[in-house]
Amino acid sequence: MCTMLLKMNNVHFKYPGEPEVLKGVNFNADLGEVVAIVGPTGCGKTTFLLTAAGLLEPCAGEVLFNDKPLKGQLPMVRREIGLVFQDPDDQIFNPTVYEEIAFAVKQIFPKHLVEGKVMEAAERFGLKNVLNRSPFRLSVGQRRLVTFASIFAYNPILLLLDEPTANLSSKMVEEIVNLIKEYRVGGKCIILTSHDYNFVAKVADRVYAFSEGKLVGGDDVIRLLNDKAFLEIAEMSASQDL
Amino acid sequence: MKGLTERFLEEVGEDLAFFNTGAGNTFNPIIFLVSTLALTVLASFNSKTLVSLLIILFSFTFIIVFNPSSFKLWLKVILFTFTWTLLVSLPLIASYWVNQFRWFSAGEHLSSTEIKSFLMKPTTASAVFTSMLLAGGGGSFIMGLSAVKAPKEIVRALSSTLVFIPILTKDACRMLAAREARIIKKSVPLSWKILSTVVGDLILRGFERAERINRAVSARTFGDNIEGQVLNVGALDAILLLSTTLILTIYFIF
Repeated sequence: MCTMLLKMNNVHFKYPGEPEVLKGVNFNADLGEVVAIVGPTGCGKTTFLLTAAGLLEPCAGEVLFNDKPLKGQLPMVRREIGLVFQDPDDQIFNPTVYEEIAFAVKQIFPKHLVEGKVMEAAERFGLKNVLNRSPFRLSVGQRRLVTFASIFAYNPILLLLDEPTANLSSKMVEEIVNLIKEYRVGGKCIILTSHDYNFVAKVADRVYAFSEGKLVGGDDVIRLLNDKAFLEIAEMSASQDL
Repeated sequence: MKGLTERFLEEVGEDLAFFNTGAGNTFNPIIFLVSTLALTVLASFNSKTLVSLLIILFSFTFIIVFNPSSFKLWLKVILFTFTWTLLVSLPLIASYWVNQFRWFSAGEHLSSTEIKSFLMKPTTASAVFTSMLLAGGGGSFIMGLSAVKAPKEIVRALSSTLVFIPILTKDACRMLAAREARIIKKSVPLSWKILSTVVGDLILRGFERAERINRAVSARTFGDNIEGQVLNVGALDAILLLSTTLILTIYFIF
């Protein structure tokens, strides 16, 4: 049975001194599904995710989490929301990989469980050998894996991924695809942004596109990714027949 | 070939990264914090040569025992501090010698003891602080501040400083290299003009990065329910506490 997890009603947002980015966004995502957001560079995908995570407050409209206003549930509700930033350097702020992964875990789990959770996440993402190293000295791809590990370690029910496949090898992209599928099978909800047609086709159930500050689409991914008009709005090109 | 500025910035970044991690020795954070602060403050205000020498000896022993691979770095910091202090105090030394030989009156001047003390204080303080951080790591210092319930904002700001200054110096090096790569005309005023734009850029970048990191911290902060730490006291802590107490006792007795 599906439960409405995240809902946005007529959300408007603008940065100070800048034109409006979100111009009345309507959106919903349920548990057990993967929703992709596509669109040209600079259209507001990252702003959308930051608003969904409660890190930006809309100028108008409302964001509901589990049918209750998100704002009123902060900050405790953040243990249910995991946001992976597009640029790992925007997300990493701890001196070692271990501390980066453990940061959120320490706030949720008792002390005797923390190390186990961290080691589990590190093993899943192949980071066991670099736990004592500074994350800033790792390669871009490894830093990306650290950001994933730091979120997956505390297992939130809503996962927000901003361009999750950027700067990753095709092998790592496959890993991410498998991870997302595992997460969905576990009954969680994933909202991701991407430019990658093949990746969206593989993982998403529904897809939205940004058009002039609003979201269009929201229907079945196969149908929409075969729709030339939709692809034009998203500035994507079809690389295969779905 | 890298310029002097770039090499200096790279070294500063690398050295600060060492401070962050230390040698992985686990001290009780409170004992570590108290010892570090007590000895550094003592070194900063002490005028007695014997105590200064004792503190330097303690620092030397501490670094050799707990992090011998960082000895060169420790020495580098002390030499840098001493050289800089010497440069700054040259007018004092000059006025002392002028008055000594009574060539003419150079007004008020410090005595030789005072000048010696002026040189010793920063050197000793940097020696002991550097050796403690290199042995225990900046993390232990930060944990100590958390353990004594220092304001969270100060602890977080200090922790971020230790993490991000090396990043900032790397950014500065990259920006310098990017600008130098496009300086074709050999002109010192032009070079200085272009390179000086790095300063403003760094300030803006620092501010923007701080905003983004703030969001990242907020995204994974769920409230004030962080479990208190259980702090153990071991043999290392006992030795550290004993040494600190001994030096403080010698200072107050002699």
